[in-house]
Amino acid sequence: MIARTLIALLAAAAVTGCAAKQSTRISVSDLEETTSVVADKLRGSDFLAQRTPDSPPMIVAIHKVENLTSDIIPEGDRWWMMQRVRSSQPILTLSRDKNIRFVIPAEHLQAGIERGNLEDDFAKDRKPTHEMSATFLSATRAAGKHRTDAYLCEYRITDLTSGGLVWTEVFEFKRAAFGKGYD
Amino acid sequence: MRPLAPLAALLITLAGSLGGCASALDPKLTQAVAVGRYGGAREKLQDDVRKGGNLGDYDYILNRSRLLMLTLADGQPDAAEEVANQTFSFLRTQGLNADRTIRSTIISDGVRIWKGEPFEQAMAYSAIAIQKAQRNEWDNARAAAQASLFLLKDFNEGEGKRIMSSTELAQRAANKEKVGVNSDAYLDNGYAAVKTNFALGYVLAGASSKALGRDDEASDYLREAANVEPALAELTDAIRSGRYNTLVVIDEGRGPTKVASGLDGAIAEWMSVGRSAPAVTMWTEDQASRVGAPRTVDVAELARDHRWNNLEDVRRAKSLIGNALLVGGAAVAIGAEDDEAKLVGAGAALAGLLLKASSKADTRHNEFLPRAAYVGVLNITAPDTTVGVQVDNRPETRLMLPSIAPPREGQRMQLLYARIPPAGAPWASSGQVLYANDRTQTRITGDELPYIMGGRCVRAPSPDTLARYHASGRLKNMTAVELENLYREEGIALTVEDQRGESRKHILEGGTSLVCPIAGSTGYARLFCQTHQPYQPKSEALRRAIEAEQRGE
Repeated sequence: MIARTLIALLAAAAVTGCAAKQSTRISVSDLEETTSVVADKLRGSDFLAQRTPDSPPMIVAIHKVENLTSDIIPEGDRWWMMQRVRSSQPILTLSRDKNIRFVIPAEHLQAGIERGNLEDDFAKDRKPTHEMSATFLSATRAAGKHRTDAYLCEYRITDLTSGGLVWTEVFEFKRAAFGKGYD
Repeated sequence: MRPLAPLAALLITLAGSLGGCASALDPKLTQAVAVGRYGGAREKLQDDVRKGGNLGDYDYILNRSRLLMLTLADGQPDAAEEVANQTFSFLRTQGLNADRTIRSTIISDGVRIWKGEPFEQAMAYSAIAIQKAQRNEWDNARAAAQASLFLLKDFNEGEGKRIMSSTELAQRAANKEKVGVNSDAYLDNGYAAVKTNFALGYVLAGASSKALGRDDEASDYLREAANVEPALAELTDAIRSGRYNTLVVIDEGRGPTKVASGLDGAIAEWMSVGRSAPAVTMWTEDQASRVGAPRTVDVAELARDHRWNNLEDVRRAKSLIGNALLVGGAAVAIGAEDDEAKLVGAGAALAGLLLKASSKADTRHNEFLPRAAYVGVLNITAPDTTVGVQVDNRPETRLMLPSIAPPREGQRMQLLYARIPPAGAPWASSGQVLYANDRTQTRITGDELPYIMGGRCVRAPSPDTLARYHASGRLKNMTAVELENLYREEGIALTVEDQRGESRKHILEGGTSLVCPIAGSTGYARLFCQTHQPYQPKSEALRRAIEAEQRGE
């Protein structure tokens, strides 16, 4: 999906002559930068630093990014954004040194069972204690031929028992474009 | 004169060719779509999209918008994913034609990248919102619906509620020119930017927000919808209250047609026939009560409204210049006594021809827009529910949509989208499913064998499907993998991924796809509610398997 998005963006750039920025849409590099920065912050977070092999077990279920922007983010890209942050930490290290494990997302589990790829009782003991989620938001300002979209992406790890946030990180960026919107 | 002949021929050829840059749609496609035969039309449009590629394709968005509309009508939102995303990406790109101003004005409008009139763009955004909602991506649906709610340019100057047409606006601009007012400046700055009256967009944005649990935001959008169109108040109240689990969007009729009219066909005008009904009636077979689905948009009304159109008066001006040059040049050429004068006259005439050809209006448009779109809500509580829809007092518009199930577990609501074929079709009012498929558990006569082996089952090959055949005493020695391999030997795609994300015709219609359309779509009714020709095996493997089954092996 990332590749298709990239092709579409490259095609858009080609048709529009690669001139001034003509779209405030989120680009592939925006997604890459967002996930890189957030992954770095997770790696250096107090939340991870404080955990040891003897910490209470943490079983994390991942959700795809919730898109509350003015832009469409394909489903594959939204999973990729979560996967990229999660996989920035070596799974074995997390499991051995931090007592953190990740389990199959509920959506993937349900889809697998519905397609007949997984048995009905597959992963019935996954019982997550935490969830990792993210929300992408935006605000738009448009006047005449100018348009600006300010984007904010917030990642969270939530304790499912207490509902408390155990880690959160935010990344922001802005995109501006010029040109007639209807033409 | 002789040395000029090649140049003249070139100029004339060029002039003659300029008006024809716009891609004409095969009339067979529009005829097929009128009676709901979307499968073949989709495949043809998919070819156009593939051949058109990206670079320099001036119909890039047009072809994708057309394909998107038909793929949705055929109940294949997954197959529409790529074209929907590409369409959104380009619609959101600003100033696509910014560097084409000179060429487009002097040479031909055909070289402009088609982005459609504002109302065509809003309808395309709505189609994308519907496609995302059908994939249960309500957040992306929200983004697409919001994108349809752009500001409009309103040139009305306190004339009350009556909205000027584009022609009236052009006339007003011309009148201002006569009294010394710069009409270009008037058209550039003489408007007020006003909130849109696109009720369908407000309803879709409201429903999407509601599905996401963003109730306050949903209320805001729904309030706007009811403000724009008071007849929607009951619908918006129902959506706001959450007393339903199924949102139904119904498209009906043929959208307006863009034609060249006026002197030399220099002016583009939108034509439409008849009027749309204020509502359609919906019912479920297990419930006696009927509910109304009010009209959220009349596309022909938008096409008439200057606020929903780009400004076309430049074309008229070009046409007039073209005619003046043509008459003047021809007169000089005929009447001149010396060669030089003849050359000048011929040149002027050719230039006139060039401009005359170029002044032909650009009539490219999305032929597959509906006349009107209606939205209603239902509570589907049992699998295999049949929903009926009909425009009041017009039985030929009855469309029966069988096999509808409640939303999947964990989903707050679902969106159904159906399109009433404008010319009617016998299968549309049947409601009786004649082929077993992945959307229904109901047993069908003949479903003990796959369609490709002479039966009436087009379910995807899986252990469950094979268990059904086994339970009927058929294909007892075949495994699910062997059955799947038979499909592959036949070149049949089992998933949208097998189709590389593209549109393909179903095997029941002579195509190569086994992907099942969404129940509740027109495509589902067309495929499964009429009898099709028997399948003709292509591979030796399938022929052998059929023979073995007939021998009882």
